[in-house]
Amino acid sequence: MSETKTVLLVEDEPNIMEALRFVLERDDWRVVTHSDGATALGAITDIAPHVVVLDVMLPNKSGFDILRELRAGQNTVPVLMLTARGQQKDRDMAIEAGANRFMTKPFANRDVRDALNTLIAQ
Amino acid sequence: MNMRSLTGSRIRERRMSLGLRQGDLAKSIGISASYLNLIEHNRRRIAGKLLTELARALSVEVTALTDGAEASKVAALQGAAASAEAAQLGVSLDTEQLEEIAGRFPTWADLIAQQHQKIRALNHIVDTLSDRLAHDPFLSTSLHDVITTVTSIRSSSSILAKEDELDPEWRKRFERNIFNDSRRLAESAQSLANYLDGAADASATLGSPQEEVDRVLEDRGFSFEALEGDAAPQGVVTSLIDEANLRSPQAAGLLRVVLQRYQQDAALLPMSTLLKALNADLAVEAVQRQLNPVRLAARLQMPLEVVLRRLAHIPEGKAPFPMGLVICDASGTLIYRKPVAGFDVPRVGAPCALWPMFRALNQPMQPLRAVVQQVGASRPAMRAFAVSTPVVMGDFDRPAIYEATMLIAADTTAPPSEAEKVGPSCRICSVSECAVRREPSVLADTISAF
Repeated sequence: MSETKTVLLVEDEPNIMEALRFVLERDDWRVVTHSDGATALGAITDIAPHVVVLDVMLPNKSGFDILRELRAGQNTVPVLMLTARGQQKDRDMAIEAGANRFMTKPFANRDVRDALNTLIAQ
Repeated sequence: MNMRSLTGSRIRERRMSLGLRQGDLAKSIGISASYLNLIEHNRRRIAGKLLTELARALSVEVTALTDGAEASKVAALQGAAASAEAAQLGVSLDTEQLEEIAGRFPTWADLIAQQHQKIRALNHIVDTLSDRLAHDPFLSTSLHDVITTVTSIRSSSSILAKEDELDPEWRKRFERNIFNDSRRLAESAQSLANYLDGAADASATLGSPQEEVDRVLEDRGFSFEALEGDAAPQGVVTSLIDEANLRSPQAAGLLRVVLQRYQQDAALLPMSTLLKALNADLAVEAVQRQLNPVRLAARLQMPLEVVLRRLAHIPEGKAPFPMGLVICDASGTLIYRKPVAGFDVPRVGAPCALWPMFRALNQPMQPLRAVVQQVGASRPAMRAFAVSTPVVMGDFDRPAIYEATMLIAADTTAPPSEAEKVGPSCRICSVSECAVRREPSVLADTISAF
């Protein structure tokens, strides 16, 4: 990677966040973390990351709502959504909300890393 | 080929089951073996004296040969033939073909019928469990917790497995995370297992705090002698909660709210006072009158909702008839359930919107009564009395918050002809065309409108 890219992890599970941070920092990502749904939108706007990893189930506001508001504000940052529910209707909801990728838990670290690299390359 | 035309097949089956040779049987009734062979292959009609002799030789009733046991078999096969599974396979059999199967292959017909019944039963279980999965917040949250914890363990463990030169500090941190997550996973899994055991066996430990509380109340028959009267010793609520041996502090908190209200009600309206007033009210001038909680509340000078709650908790054997109680909060969520036989109260999901208690929510403080009858077999008409009252008083800056209380009295004098038909909840209601249906029923056979 020629320049350091920033990823914002919006996830309320600290151990998942720590593992992803470790893996991505090993790949030279700059990792910023955020765990509260209510303030996540402001964090995305303030930090202006290259890509966002957004959990669906967050305290105070769902990832779907955050993403809808983000897209309503014309923010086109690539978003990878993480969720524990993998039914087609959940995927459809994520895509309708404006997600670029959708990943079901439990995932492999490698899959997240590959997905982010793909999103950055697009 | 109709049922009667299979008489020959039944003769053959009976002969073979007795271990008789065709020639021996033919000889015993004075016909040739070849003629019997034609009869057995349904190529010759048989009736009258010959049929009687054959039946006697085979030690069966004549009707067993003419009608056989196939009638019920055919009926069962018709059910299987009309099933979704048969449609999926493109199987289409008319009555004649089904009769032939029942007559020629009775054992296979039994097997098909039994398997059809089994499939129906299993489908019903799957639907019911799917319903629970879709509507049970406890299950949904628990599964989410399990998946999240598994994700965390997977992420941390893959780092430990794949990073050969991991800094000891990081290694220690991930090992600690895995340890904590695995402990959390074990607790979540155990809780889920208990919960699912509870779904299969109502006597097993139940999962959600509300269900734990429901279980305690059921075990105690919804009656707490220690809380009766206005001189219950201090700390008795805490003692009862300790005795209940609940698994979660949330359940203990819920039970405390229930018991404290019970205690307050009992202090306001002792059971002996209520029973005396009730008996006097029902038998004025030796004429048996119908239960009227509003009249009773006026006689006792008590709030109606207190009278409804106390009526529902009259000890078994002292009430004129069984009484149940349901209380919902302003969202319509049931927060208290004391069931009564003949009126189902769902444990999971919302109840039928036609219950009078929901009308009461729209008319605060207005007492309502109705004769209600749940749809389904052997459901008696019952008298329902409902009122909604504030649990949080309003002020200039805040609206009042109401809850609705409904007493369900299994009074045998309630006239079915006047009954409003209601369901238990949409998912298990058999009425197909209902103005307030919010979701489909899991019951395959539904009846049309109320």
